[in-house]
Amino acid sequence: MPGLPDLPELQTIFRNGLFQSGLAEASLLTHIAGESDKARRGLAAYRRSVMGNLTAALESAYPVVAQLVGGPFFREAARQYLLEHPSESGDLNELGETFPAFLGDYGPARDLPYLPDVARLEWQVQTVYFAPDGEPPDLSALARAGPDDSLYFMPSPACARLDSPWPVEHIWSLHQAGTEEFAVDFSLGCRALVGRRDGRVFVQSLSAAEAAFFDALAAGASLDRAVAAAFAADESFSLGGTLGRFLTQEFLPKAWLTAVL
Amino acid sequence: MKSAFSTLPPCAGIGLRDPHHREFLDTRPAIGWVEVHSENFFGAGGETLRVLEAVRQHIPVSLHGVGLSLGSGDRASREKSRSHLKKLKSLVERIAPAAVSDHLCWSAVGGAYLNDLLPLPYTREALAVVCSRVHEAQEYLGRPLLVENVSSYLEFRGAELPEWDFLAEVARRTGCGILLDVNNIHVSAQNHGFKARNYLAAIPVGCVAEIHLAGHEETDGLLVDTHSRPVCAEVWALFEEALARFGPCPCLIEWDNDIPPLAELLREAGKAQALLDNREKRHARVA
Repeated sequence: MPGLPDLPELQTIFRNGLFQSGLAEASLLTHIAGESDKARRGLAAYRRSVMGNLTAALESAYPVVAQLVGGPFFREAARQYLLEHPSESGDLNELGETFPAFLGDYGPARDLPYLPDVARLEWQVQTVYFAPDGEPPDLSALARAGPDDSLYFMPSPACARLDSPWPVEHIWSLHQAGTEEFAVDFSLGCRALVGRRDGRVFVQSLSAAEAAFFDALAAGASLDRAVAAAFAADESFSLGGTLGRFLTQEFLPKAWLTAVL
Repeated sequence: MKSAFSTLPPCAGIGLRDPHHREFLDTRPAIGWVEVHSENFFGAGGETLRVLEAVRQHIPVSLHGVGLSLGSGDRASREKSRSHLKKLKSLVERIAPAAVSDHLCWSAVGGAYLNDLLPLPYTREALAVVCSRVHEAQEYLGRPLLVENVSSYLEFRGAELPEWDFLAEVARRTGCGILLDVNNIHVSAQNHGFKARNYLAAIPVGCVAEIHLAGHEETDGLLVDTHSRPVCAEVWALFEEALARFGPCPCLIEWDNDIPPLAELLREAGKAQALLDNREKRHARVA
């Protein structure tokens, strides 16, 4: 019987034996006290607990993906993912950032090409949920703006954008409503904007012009440049309607002026 | 007696979990304090943090962590633990909790996390690692940590001391408080065939800063610490023994799976409070 290895080595043996059967498991079992049947049952309890916790954490970050593929498929995908991508934080809410990319390469999900983008959107939803609170809205600069001023807007830290060739915003929204009906036109892409209001995360779809407008502001462009970008995308862009909506939904809580010299 | 380890009141509290947040804030039930899982509030902002800040306005809050991995001594895990500590510290500064705790276990090796409360080999080497990590955490946070005994489903060969001596020694060497989970003692005692009473007897009286109570289930001939049931009769009995030995202290009902309605959780806390009150009365008679 081997002596007890040092602590990091024993922990490595434990981790390997937990994730793999065969030699790795046999090596771990030699270090567990008591009869072999009891040692096996003890190891099985930790396997259930570890895999159960990690899979549950992944499912709580990706509930729509889990619903789309069903429990058994999701658990197997999670097992494969966790094998290749160990959790990197003691905070389970950080688990799964690379899951969307993993799904893109995951053979069994080949027939669901929209799945990685649904997952990307869900990760943004989770990120926005925990994002910092912005300062309270301050739009006083709007009233002070003169003809020689450039007006800028600061996007809220609790928002995110995703462009996809798939209707992921529609898929996500149908799942939130819990509707049985699932009629989605998969030929439509979307430009999603994720935001948070009163603590609740919501997702909406933007037109090409609205997306161009928002992205320009988020990249630090002044209002007039952002408007030009929006008109370049679509001449029928309505500045009043879009800006008003973004302001009331707190996507752009802060405005400030810079004098044009 | 005023505790050196926390400012929690010596009465019953509940583990406050997400499904009860809204109701708890709306109804403000009469409960002395609550405990939350620290990591669930590591986000920089948003609703959960706002709820915790609102609760904190009314009653003391205990921050109970599951992710410090105090039993990991390798370099990569220690580095990750430092960034974990940093997030914990900023939460501590924001919430000003009455107590901060984590577990006598490990959950990461080589920087890879298993995110579970895994058993340690009770060796002098592991003892040195845990003590150094507890020291580091207490120094960084600038306050004592409470360290909790976990349930275990296996034991390693080559142990050099029993778990209760290991835990007592961690407290003696680092000055940390002990968060004694009597359900975990019961679960491990059943699984490994030791006497729960001997565990209590080995823990120094002045070190116990908090007691945990929870339910467990039996699977495959082992008791498993699922936090999914009411506290069982044996654990209530062990709790009374603990109160007799350690005196009245803050005690908490933990319920994390198959979470019942808030009212039921509060009733369970009421039972703990009744036993605390009994102990006080008996104490008063003796005095």
